[in-house]
Amino acid sequence: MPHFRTLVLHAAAIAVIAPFTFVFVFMVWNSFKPDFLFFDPGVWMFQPTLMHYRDVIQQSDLVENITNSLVVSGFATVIGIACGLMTAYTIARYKLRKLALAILFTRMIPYITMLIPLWLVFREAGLINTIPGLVLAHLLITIPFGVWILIAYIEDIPKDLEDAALMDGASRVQAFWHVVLPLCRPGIIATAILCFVFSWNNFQFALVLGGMDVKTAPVSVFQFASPDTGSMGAMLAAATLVTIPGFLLVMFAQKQMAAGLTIGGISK
Amino acid sequence: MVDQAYHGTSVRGFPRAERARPARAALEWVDRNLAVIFNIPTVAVLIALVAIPAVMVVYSSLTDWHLYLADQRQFVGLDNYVSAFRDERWITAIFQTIYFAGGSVILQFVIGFAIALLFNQKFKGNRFYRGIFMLPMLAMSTAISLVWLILYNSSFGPLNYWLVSLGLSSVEWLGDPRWAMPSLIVVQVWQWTPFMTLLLLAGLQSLPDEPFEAAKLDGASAFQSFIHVTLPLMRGHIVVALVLRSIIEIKEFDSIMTMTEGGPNGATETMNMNIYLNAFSYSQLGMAAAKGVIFFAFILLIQALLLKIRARRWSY
Repeated sequence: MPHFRTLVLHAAAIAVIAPFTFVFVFMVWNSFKPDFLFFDPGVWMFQPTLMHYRDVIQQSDLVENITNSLVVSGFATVIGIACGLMTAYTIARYKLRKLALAILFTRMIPYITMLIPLWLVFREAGLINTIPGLVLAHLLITIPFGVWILIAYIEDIPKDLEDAALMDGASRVQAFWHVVLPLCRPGIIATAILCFVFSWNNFQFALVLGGMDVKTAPVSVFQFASPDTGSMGAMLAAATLVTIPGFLLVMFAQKQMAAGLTIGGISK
Repeated sequence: MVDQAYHGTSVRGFPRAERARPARAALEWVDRNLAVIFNIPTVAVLIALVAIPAVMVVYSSLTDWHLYLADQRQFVGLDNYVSAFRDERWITAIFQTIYFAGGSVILQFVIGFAIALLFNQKFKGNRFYRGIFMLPMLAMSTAISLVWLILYNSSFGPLNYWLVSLGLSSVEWLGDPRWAMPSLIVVQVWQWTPFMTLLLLAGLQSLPDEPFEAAKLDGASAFQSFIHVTLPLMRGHIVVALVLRSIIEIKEFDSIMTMTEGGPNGATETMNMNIYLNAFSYSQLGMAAAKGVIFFAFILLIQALLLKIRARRWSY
């Protein structure tokens, strides 16, 4: 009974994703719920309102902080991918085992351990509570992760293609630029998106090194958490505003995601 | 030398080649030293952000550095390490870290393995379901924690609403020291089971077909072939997934900070939270540095296990 099997599998899959999806559905749907109805969690049908979004946008600094995050994560991703590509290329082609291990090692150090000295260094260097300082700190997220995933993508590129370019008189840099980069473009895009998401989601660096001057989206969202201030609707609207754009970005590049996540996950 | 001689004798006799010679030589110099040149930016960043701070954190851990008494910073040897292990709150934090990480990872493993087995089946729509299922791990932890704060709200949260409508009594999910940690663990299970599934699914898909076919020929049931074929073949993948997830859970900070800040009454204070509070709320930087080093050693211990197990398939 192949039909029966398919039916069971579909039912099982839906049962599995239901609780994982529920939290998002709850978040988005209730962000439109009028304030006075939050006192009754049993109410699911109501006249949707945009008041929470209006409040969050007008009365909090979330939008400004999202802009900070876009700048910080954008620069950290671009710089991280550029550095990561060059390093990943040399590790893959010259078998730089020690460098690879050193980078793996940096990924093991808990951020909190690094944050104590970094906070001091940044204060002395005038980088504390600045956007360039945060970009620099976020390179600790994007470079090691980028290198690790990109190695796998670069190794997948047949070496013959590169050798052919070298035979034709191209320098290694030219071969890297004209052969390797175009061929691993899907990998670069997938890695960049993941780097961006990890940097976008990172809370601890900005909390310690950004202070009250440069708040990123997670810090901004965190401020909604104090139970006294702000309505539940505002909390959910803020959470929706920072979550959904990332999902759209990721879905946009879904094909490359699965492979990228697995490779990165193995060494995370 | 041979290279230079070759390129010096402008083989085809183009005048341009003569002019381009210095550039050509520069390119070759870059090529020969590519492994160094390409790594200058990365290594510079790692030295600035990892090597130097690492030296500083070890040095700071040997001083009685307090933020507001910075001038009187004195070398105190291993005093901070000794007093860390006499600090009851720190010892409690170590056990609570094990509770938090252990609980999260075990549940993620059991649920994640079952889901991996499901997604390992071939059926239409598999990719679609899997894509949606993976979303939680890409979500911002602080944002998701806000949603859970509302779900867990003792007066107006849906969880207590359902409990009450089932005739049960409501629970102070995050306010009760006994319930706070399990509540945080549930959030971890929700957010990171997909990652566990991903790791295990990658393992399942890499297994050879032959042993399963052989088991089928021998008349093994699906359950028997799971116990006697799947599990033994998956052993390496399982250990790697468990250790990887443990390391990440041990470091978890965002959701704890957002939902409980280590409370109530320190019931959810993990090592990471304890160090954060020591350094940035109580300004005891020397002590926090020592605990940071201990925390790193704790993680290295687990990672060492991982590297040992992975050594067989270790490529770099």
